Amino acid sequence: MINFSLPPLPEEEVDARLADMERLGNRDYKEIGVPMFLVAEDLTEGARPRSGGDGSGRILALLLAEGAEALRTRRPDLDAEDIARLIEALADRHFLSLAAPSFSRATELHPETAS
Amino acid sequence: MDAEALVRAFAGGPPIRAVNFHNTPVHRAEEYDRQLGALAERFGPVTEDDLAAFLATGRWTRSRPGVVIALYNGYRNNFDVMRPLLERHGLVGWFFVASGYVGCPVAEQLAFGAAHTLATIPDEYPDGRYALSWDEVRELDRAGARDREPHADAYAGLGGGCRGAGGGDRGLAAGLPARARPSGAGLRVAHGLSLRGESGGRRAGGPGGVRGPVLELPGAAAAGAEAGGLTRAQTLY
Repeated sequence: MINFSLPPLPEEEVDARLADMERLGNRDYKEIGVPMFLVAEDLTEGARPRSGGDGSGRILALLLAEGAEALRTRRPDLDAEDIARLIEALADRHFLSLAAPSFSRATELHPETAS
Repeated sequence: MDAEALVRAFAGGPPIRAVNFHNTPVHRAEEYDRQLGALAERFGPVTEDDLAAFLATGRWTRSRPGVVIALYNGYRNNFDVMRPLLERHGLVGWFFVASGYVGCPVAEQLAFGAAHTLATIPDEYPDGRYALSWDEVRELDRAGARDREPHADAYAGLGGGCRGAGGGDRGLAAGLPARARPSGAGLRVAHGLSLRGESGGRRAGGPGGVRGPVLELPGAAAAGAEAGGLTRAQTLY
């Protein structure tokens, strides 16, 4: 099995992400639309696992893991608000892009195929 | 959930996408119009049945990912501004209505809002009514029930604290059919991030130890639903 891991984020990038989280947190929430990624929590232990989809869940999982590790270098004891702000930043950055169809399935890019 | 649990949860399948709104004043109507247009290009609407099926089966069967357009608290400007925009773009709005707010007499709504951290837009409505009326809630309900597609699903919570209102009981008395109620077990949809942003402000770590809000659905309801102390028992109409 290949065991691989990504190198840690450069310090400048951690700073930039923290600054972005701070920027997002200072918005006037009462009038704006805030994108969110939601996950289902199984309280019955009987629910069927989610399946299928476009892989966006695993991408988000990787991004969240990377972000949490980076954030822990500055705040070793992450609390609920830290995690919430991290996911807020992920949603702000990736909400639209993760919904884009794959290149070959984007009909506007392949009008002949679509027709 | 801690970070590790959330990572595992995200890895388990496609996420549910939501865009959360609170007040939607008319001076931002063009902005909302553009945002809903961009969302409608990429996502499809999510009805109550769609989400219940997803939670029950783990599968999203529509060709495009869905987006939940959530409108919190029962603001009148949600009806006046967002409802027509949702219809224009073919998206479903989920109206999470604080029924104690809706049931509050007009003269007391500003005070009720201030007491429950319900932000209002100063002088937005000269007549002083900032919450949905029950007639508007009924209209949203009819729109949602008519075709279960674009229009609205309305969500009402029981909220106390208004001297002159019957709160959620009044909503029930208004003849609104209950489509979902809290129960003791089921799936809970934790807003991974709504620890902040609820009721228009920072709530995480605030008074009462606010947790992420909980969305309850038929057959997938949760115990202990609480959204910022505003709503305790919640009912989906």
